[in-house]
Amino acid sequence: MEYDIDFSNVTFTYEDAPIPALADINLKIKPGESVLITGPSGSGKTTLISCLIGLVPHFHDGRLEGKVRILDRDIRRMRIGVMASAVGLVFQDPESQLVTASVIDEVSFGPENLGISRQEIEQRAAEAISVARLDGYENREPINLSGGEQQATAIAAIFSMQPEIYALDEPTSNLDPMGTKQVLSLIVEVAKKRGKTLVVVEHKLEEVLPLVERVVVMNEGRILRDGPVHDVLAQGDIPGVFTRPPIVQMAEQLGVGGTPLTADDIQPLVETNLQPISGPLPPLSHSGKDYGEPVIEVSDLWFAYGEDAPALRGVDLTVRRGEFLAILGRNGSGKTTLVRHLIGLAQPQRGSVTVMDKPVSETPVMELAQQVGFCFQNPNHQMVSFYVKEELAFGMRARNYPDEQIAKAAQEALDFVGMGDYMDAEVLSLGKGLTQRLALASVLTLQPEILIVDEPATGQDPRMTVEIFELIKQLNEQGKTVLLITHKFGVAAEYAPRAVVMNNGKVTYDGPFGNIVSDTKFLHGNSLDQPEVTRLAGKLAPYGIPPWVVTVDQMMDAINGSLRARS
Amino acid sequence: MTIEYQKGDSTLHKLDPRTKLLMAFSFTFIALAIQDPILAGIVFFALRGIGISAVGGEVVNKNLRQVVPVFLMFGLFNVIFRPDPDGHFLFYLIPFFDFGPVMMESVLGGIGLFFRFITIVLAVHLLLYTTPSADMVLGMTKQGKRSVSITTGVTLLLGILLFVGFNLTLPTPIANLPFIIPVRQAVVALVALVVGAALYHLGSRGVPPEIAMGLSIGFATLGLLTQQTQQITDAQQARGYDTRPKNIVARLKVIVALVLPIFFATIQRAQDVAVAIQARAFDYNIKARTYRRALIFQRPDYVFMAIMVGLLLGGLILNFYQLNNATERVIKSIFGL
Repeated sequence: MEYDIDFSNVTFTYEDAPIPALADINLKIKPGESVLITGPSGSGKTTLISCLIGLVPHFHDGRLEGKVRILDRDIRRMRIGVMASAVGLVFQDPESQLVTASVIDEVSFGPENLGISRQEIEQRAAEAISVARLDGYENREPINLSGGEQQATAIAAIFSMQPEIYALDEPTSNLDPMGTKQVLSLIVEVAKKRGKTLVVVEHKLEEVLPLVERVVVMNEGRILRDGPVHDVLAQGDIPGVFTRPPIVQMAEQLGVGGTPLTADDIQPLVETNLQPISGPLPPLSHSGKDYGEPVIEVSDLWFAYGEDAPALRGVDLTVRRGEFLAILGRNGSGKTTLVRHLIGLAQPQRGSVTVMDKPVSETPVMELAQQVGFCFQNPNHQMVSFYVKEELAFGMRARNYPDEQIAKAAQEALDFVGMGDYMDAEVLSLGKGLTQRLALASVLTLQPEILIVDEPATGQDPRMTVEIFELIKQLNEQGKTVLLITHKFGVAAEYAPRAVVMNNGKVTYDGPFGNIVSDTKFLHGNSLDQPEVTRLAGKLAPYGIPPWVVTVDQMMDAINGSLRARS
Repeated sequence: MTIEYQKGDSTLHKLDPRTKLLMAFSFTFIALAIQDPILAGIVFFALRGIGISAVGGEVVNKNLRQVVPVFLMFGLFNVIFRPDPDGHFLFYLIPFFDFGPVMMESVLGGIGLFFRFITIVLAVHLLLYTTPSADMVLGMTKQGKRSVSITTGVTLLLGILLFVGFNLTLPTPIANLPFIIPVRQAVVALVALVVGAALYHLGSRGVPPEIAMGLSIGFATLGLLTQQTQQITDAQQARGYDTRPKNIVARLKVIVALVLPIFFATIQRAQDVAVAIQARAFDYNIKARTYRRALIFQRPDYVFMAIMVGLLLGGLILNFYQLNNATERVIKSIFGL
């Protein structure tokens, strides 16, 4: 067997789709290779990976041309179950792939299907649970786990099947930064140790590239690039499709050779041009903006779900009018629970929450909703209508706005998010990026003073993420107070002046980003991680590079400043 | 309150799910066999006592209370519509019109009927309270090859009992049909065989894994649906929609606004699950599937089964000696009727 995965001239068109989802794909992957597949949303990555176990064409109907051979078997002739016994596929949405009533059942489900001995099932399940850091979760119900824990369960469930090929479709989209790092290195380590083939679909290039050997870039169903990591990076960006990680871009701007991927790689290359500088580092210039009166006041807030341990243990938080703050922290640290209190979806069990001078415990949600716009973590959970038009009108209808006003406000909101032409579209036909933007638009129709956005970047490609952050920033500039929950530490540091870090139901930091970006000990303790650029800044401190640098532009300014100082 | 699994570690909790499934079934037959109101009452209160010790009185009573009116009605119907022509007249339901004669035997029968029905319901409740859905499905699932197990023995015994029982308790009209005896025996044997076979399958071999999987995913999805309903309600509230209006028409509207999204969510879930289980090789070789957890009967299981068999046997023996109306006889003898 020469190739584990062998696509030759494969074109696949979903039933009723006007254009093919995969067009003329030729892809050969050798046993033991580790490959990253990347590209914007809708580029065919998920369809490609679905072929590996024959979901395409056996489950998803459509026309398949060309030949797909996986582990020397023609997928057209094989049942899904047979392919799945050798190819472990982890899907994007962890919630939708968990089917049993407990974590241990979930992890055992695959091995049970394979008909191996009971003793071995126990052994494999125990191993998978410890590898995925799920000890103590054995009897928890998967639907009651946090997104990150669900993701870990889904991965453990495949790990226990000991497949020949590991195929993972955005396996870390719900994970916090340290969780992402651990899960990715875990998968790669497992695959390599067992000598198995690994195919990962991911947007998080900075984290994945150092771990894989080969990159495939897809767009509109086609493979645009395919080759060893360094070769693909050397060919530069593809606008709108493939943006190389900041370190690579920096290397290019500095004109240093090679294609360094990490701060460690680039450090010696940059250092040669710099000279040590003594004296204080340039301080972080604060915007110094004066914010208005407090609009949100939370004091000593405690909350527990049912009989579980408290999700919030004495949270204090004051937010002033016009602020933009990012709420960060590990999976399950209480971020979402906290913001649910701000619109009354959760009620304080102890302590108090006041929003716009109204105590939340005495104000109905429907009244708070006028002041507070709330975007849920999964935009699909927020959709309550079938048509875009109805979705936008929903909140206004509930408060009996006149029809003309509804039509006007709906159009304005849709225009703002750049979806002006989608007024008559169906909600279900929108992709992930557009659904997220529609969620934002429909919340804006009520003109809320405060905007709460819970993780807008989940499952979005990098371009969509930046677009949605730009929109949120614009809203903040228009005077709205913004609270943003996110795991995108680097992007958050770039956009939001104030960081609130939560851990185990408590606020562990509240203040400007500048103070924590360089504190790796604190960040790791809160399951956060520095962007590579900041890590590099830390290493270059002796050369006068300030430690609070988070973007390539800031880094370039600092380096140029240092170079100027030298000459 | 919904009838769902209550955490606990009582004896009832620890019983093998198959024992509890059998329990729910055998109480149906026990309730058929024991007709005397006082005996039926004793069985009911004994079972209720076991239930209360396992999950607490509040849980047991709360759900049982809901079916009381229904079964009281059944009992009442028995009194009104089945007056025993040879019975002992007590009074008229509507006195001045001489309508609805109430007979002593019908009243006793009615009380008995009430207890028998409510015992069956209670048995099913206890099964649901003390057995996680996953275990229940496991108990019902056909698991590989197994040699003759205790379940086989129990079901065989049950079959024989049924055969004898049917014979003894044949309603008079059927017993008087002009069949020659062997034909009647054959019919009874056949019925007993069919019931026995069904029980045997459920108790010992169980349903095929596909159906069991469907059941267990169904159970797991119930929780998910509750969660989805909550999510949609949250989303509606967060957009300023009053999800708890006082007005009834507005309330109906709220339900309508919920039904469609949930319907679609359910279909979506079904599709997701289908993909998810196939992706984990569910159709690899279903017949050779291993089950992580082996179900092995323990001593309490045998004790429980023995009690059930005893009750059933006792009821049948009482019937045989025509003692199934002991209370009636005692009352009659006291009043010299």
